[in-house]
Amino acid sequence: MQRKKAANQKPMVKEMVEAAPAFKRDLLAALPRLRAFAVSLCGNATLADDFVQDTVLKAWSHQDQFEPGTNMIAWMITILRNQFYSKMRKAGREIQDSEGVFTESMATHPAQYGRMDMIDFKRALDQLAADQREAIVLIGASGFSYEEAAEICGCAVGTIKSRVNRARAKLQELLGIADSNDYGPDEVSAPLVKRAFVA
Amino acid sequence: MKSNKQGGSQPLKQMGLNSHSDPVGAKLRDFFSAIENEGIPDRFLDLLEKLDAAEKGGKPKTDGEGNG
Repeated sequence: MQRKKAANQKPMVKEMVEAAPAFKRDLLAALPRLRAFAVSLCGNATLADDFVQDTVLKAWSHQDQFEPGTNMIAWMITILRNQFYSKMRKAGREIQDSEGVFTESMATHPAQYGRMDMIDFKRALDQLAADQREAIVLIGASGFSYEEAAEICGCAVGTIKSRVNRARAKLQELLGIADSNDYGPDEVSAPLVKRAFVA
Repeated sequence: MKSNKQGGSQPLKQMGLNSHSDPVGAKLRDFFSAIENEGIPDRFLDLLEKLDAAEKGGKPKTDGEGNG
């Protein structure tokens, strides 16, 4: 099979992905989701990409430890969060986007996520404890099961579940969203309200 | 790990999430996929090219993992 390739042209992602050996191909395919996880966890896009870079380097040099056929993204997220937490411990505090590094970098991508409600959401997410943040991101957005998330975080499935619940409750509170299970003493009306939203 | 899927919406259903009953979940997914959809920045493509080239270029693999 012959592949035409312009000499001075940067290789296209698709081309790179197709041509790459399995490990590199899987690693490339995992990168967008790994970045999204990193930004969600770190709260700072620049810092997140540094973690992603370290993770790529580490994954590459430990290729032999990756079992082909298993979940590349789970493996890389495990590496990334280990680096994140070890850096956090060294820093002795949470790595946070205290006021707006992330917001600034978001401003450079207005088309993607410059929407006000998304900035508000990011601010709320940043206010969660890191363990709750990663739990809700793994379960609610990254496509992992509770069992997989528990394995990634090295904790019990029940711990993940309670972190997700607390994260969700906190986000609802911060964003001023009423919980459909939280309509006070009148339990009878809750299912009706829920139905009203669906209808 | 039992599955090799790279994601999907199945756990969301597991959580009973949809945009009507769970606006928080919907916002989270919007946020996450906005970043995901940015694609891969050049710095990572360049990095992988270099790593690949270094490996192919006969630069001997460092022995002694020193992994502990």
